[in-house]
Amino acid sequence: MKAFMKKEWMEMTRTGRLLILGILFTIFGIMNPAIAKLTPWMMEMMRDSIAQSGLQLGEVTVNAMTSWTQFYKNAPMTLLVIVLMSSGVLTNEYQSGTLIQVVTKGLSRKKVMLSKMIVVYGSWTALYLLYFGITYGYTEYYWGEDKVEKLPEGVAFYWLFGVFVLALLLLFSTIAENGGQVLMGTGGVIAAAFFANYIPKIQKFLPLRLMDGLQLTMGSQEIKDFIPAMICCGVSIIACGMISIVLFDRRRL
Amino acid sequence: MNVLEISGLEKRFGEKQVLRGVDLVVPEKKVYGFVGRNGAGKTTTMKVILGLLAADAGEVTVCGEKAHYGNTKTNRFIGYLPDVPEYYGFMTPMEYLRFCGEISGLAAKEIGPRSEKLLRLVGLGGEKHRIKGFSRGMKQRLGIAQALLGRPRLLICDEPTSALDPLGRKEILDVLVAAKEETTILFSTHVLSDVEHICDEMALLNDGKIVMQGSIEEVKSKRRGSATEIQLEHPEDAKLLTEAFGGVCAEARARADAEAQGDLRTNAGAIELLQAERPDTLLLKDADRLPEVLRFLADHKIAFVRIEKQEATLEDIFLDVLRSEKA
Amino acid sequence: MTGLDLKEYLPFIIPLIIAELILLAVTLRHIFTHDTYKHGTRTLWVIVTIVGMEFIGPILYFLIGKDEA
Repeated sequence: MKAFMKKEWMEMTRTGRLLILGILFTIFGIMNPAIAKLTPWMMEMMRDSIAQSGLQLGEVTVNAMTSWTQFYKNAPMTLLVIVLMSSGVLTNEYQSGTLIQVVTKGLSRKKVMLSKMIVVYGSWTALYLLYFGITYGYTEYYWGEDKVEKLPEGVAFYWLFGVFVLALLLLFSTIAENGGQVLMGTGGVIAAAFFANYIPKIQKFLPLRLMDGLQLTMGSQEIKDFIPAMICCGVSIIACGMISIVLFDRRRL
Repeated sequence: MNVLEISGLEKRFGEKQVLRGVDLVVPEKKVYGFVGRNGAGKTTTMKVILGLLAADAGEVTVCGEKAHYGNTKTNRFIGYLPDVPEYYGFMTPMEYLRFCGEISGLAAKEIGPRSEKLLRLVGLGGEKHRIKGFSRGMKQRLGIAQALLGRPRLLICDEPTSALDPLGRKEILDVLVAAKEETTILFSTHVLSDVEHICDEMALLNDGKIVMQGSIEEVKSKRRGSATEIQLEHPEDAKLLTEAFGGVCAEARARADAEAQGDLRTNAGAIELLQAERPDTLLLKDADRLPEVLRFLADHKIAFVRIEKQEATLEDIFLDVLRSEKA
Repeated sequence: MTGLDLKEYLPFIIPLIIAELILLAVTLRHIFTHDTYKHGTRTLWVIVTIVGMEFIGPILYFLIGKDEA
């Protein structure tokens, strides 16, 4: 299993996937405070045209909150990127037939699946930390005296949501033939969740709620409001993981 | 001890019944040729052995242990070379073998020297480039190296030579002969000369069934010396001969039946045309009647080009079997 | 325009430019060292990468253009 992980690492670094993802997450991380910082200037630029339309624009105050608002606004983008980049994590190997040699060499399929999970969750965690770290660094630098509430909790919730999406991705990877099907399956479930979100009764159980970390930071919601969704999300992740392992064991390679 | 035993294997893909009860026994330390036309079910059989496909019926036993679909433990006895081997293109051959050694649980200090030795054996010794630029032949050779790495008791090669040029084929066959020292080899092919060159035993798979198996000598002896080819100078004389000997000759027929149930050609007459497009060449199946025929030729002053004892090649046997299967 | 003090923005601009240039370089190198693409042609991908260089172009290339291995 260690060897398979090593191979995964080699693949990530040598094909440049890790580098690309790292750069993208860095760019996203820098963008958040940059946009916040630029907001007053952009307002200034538009002041004239806005004044002409008769609106009186007050002084815009930019603070750490502006930066963190951007953080949550761009977080789906980072998740989308990693989902797109990971959609072939298993299907590419089915298509090229490289896993046949691996399993006929006696590496158990369970270990292959576990390695893939560790790699996918691990890269999401590391990259998300990078994304968070960069935004955090800049925000501290510019608006350091401006403290925000319950930031780590909100950020962690979003991370958990990311793991949930990737668990779905891995689950669909065990049944799909190609990356497109994986994306369709994963996207389908997320879309279904968005529709389900309109039903007030189940709203608070949906993992989608974990995307609302900003509400926590702004103080409009409490941590306890997130607990049902958190539990649901955790259970789903474990269930997806177990089903994936069972399905992968029986899959034709 | 038999390394591999297969009994009553059946497999269906949708409408198509690919395997209809395959029985196969591969004894230890043999090179076993698994012959059949494309689509006869060779690859399917191999994939079932490796647990890559689920069988509909039948049993596979590898080194005394039952193999099953999915994650099968018996794979630790087997080295496998797929028909189109694919590797992680971002690795070098050495890295790939190290990776294979590690996942198959080889002792860490053994992997290095063994990989080097095998890479030298298959002629990829100093290769430092990544696998993605390799040719078919190179991949095939690397495939043998990775299959042999774990000192398997059974090496399964799926059409290892079919996509290669003559030189590449010879290289692969040489490597297989060298590998024979350490392991039992089951390899599939539709190239019969490969089988004749390196195999000890063979089985012929046709239409999902084993229609013939045994050692190469056994298989060949079923036909050796049993027929004589007579080529005449004038094709029109052929008619004289077939009229004299070709009729339903009760005596000859009875003898032929009693002589060999295994005889692959059912003879209606002692002499018949070898091929419709060669009207000058006749085939005498019953060697005992050769003096009679020679006398007939002399009496009627029939000129001939040659009279030759037919040496059976696997090709002939193969074609014969396929023909009689169809009938 | 007086509101914009360039110095204050340098901490953003420099790393952003560096990151985007690396991304651009990596993508272009990949395009030029590969002869086959899953979709599209070399010219197409070079244009897409440069036009959408802030990150959309490279992402598109690695998702739809890149051939395996």
